[in-house]
Amino acid sequence: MSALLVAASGPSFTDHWRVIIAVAIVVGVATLSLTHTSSRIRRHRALALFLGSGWIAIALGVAIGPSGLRLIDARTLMDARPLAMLALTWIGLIVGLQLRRAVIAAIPSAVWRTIAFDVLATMAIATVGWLALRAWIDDARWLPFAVTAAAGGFLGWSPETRSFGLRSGNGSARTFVQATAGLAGVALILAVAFADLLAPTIEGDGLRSQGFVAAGTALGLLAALGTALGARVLLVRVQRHQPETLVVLLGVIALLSGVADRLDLSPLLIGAACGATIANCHGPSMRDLETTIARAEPALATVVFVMTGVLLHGTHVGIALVVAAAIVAHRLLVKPALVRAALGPAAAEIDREIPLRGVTLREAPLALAVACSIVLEHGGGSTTSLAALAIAAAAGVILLPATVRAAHTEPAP
Amino acid sequence: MDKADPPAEYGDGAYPVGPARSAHRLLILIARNDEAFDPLVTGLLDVGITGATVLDSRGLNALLRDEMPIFAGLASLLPRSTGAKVVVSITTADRIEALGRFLAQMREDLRPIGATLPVEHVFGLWPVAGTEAR
Repeated sequence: MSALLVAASGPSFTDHWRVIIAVAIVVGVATLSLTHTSSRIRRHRALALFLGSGWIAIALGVAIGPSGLRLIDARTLMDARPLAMLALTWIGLIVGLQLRRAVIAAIPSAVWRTIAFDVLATMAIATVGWLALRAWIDDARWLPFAVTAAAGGFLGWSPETRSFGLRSGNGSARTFVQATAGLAGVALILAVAFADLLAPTIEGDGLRSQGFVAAGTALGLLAALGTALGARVLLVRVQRHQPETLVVLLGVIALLSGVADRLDLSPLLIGAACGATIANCHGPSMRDLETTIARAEPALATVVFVMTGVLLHGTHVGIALVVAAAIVAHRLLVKPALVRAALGPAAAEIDREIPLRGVTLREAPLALAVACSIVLEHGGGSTTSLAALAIAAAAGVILLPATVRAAHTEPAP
Repeated sequence: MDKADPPAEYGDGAYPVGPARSAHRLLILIARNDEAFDPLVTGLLDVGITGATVLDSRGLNALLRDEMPIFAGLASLLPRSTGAKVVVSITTADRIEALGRFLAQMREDLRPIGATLPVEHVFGLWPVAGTEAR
């Protein structure tokens, strides 16, 4: 964050207009993503793949960002930071709301095994990467955060299955892909919290001791819990009234993003903690709330993609390309083998719908959201990690159709 | 829609095609959730519509969200039912009017979405005492 603040030295009238124009562009594009035309376009298999990866929105972000038209520069970005925090808290809430006891109990053992394999592999890669970079870069407090942001590219995958040609229904491959992606998202948000807790010790940061960060995290989680309980009471009172539900929801998100900002915590973590608490409170179903929240998903994804493009400035292109190549290689060669090993005999059933040999399992959009939150919070080399994720996402889009075609033509071993 | 053994006048094995009954209507109602469905059933019974087909259903938006999740995928583990139900029945215009009066008294957020259509022919539905097709 401090890196982004360097340029800040009193906004002018023109700067204010630049913020307004930039926010109007982002909100306009996000609103477009909610239209029925957008839903219709995304039903096309190739377009589902292309738009799902967010490349159009990322390109737009680059175009209006410091690397393009400079509508948004470092100062503008800091002025518009509350909007980004709100979007990230909302995404955290979406992730948290799915963590109902009934859902957790319904997670098949194959999904747990796959996640365990995936997390262990990602941790091994992140540790090796961190040790290698630490030997190379002497003093960088942002290094653990940059490694965590890059780790998101290795963990989990996108829950979008339409680009595999899977249609609506209850196919086991579709359920497996979506459930594993959902659980990996939770693991990723928790990984950021752990990085926050461990980083001061690892880097010997005297400014923020481990105890200070732990206390801040505990306070933030308590605030999320209290907000959730209060929100639950209000939401039950306004149930079946969507406008009032929306007002309560916006209030909750604004409060939580403020808490996350003041305590230097990930808005995704605070949002997820609040969502999980609301989802597990006793009482009537919160279907109206869930519908309202989930309906905004494409718009939030668009905001994250545009934000990614804007933040792609001041990156180390060489390192970003190397990390992106590692992510793609892992997804192309290692991850399918890990999934097959985790699934055991059940792999054959999934294989019938999604070939698990040599297929690029695309990275999750949530990884970009996590990386954006890290860049906004810590800056530094995390921007290069974000660039690596964006490049790997693009490579995934290019490689997926070819690898699926190749896998379908190869005879099974 | 209730079914019963065909009356003798239809003959053995003949599939009955009822005469055009201008007084009959096809009634389609969509209840958004279980809470909205319960009073609707009461209303149907109160106005004398005692035969209907009830189908579990999902809205298009719910289907699109399930099809293309972006940040949350765990919901795919839950049953697909959203609690929404479609009620289909063939009944008379006067019962539909009575049902309309009942629905007008229901809480606004629980009122079903509905439509009625004139029925030209009825297939496979025999008049049975106590049903709407009588």
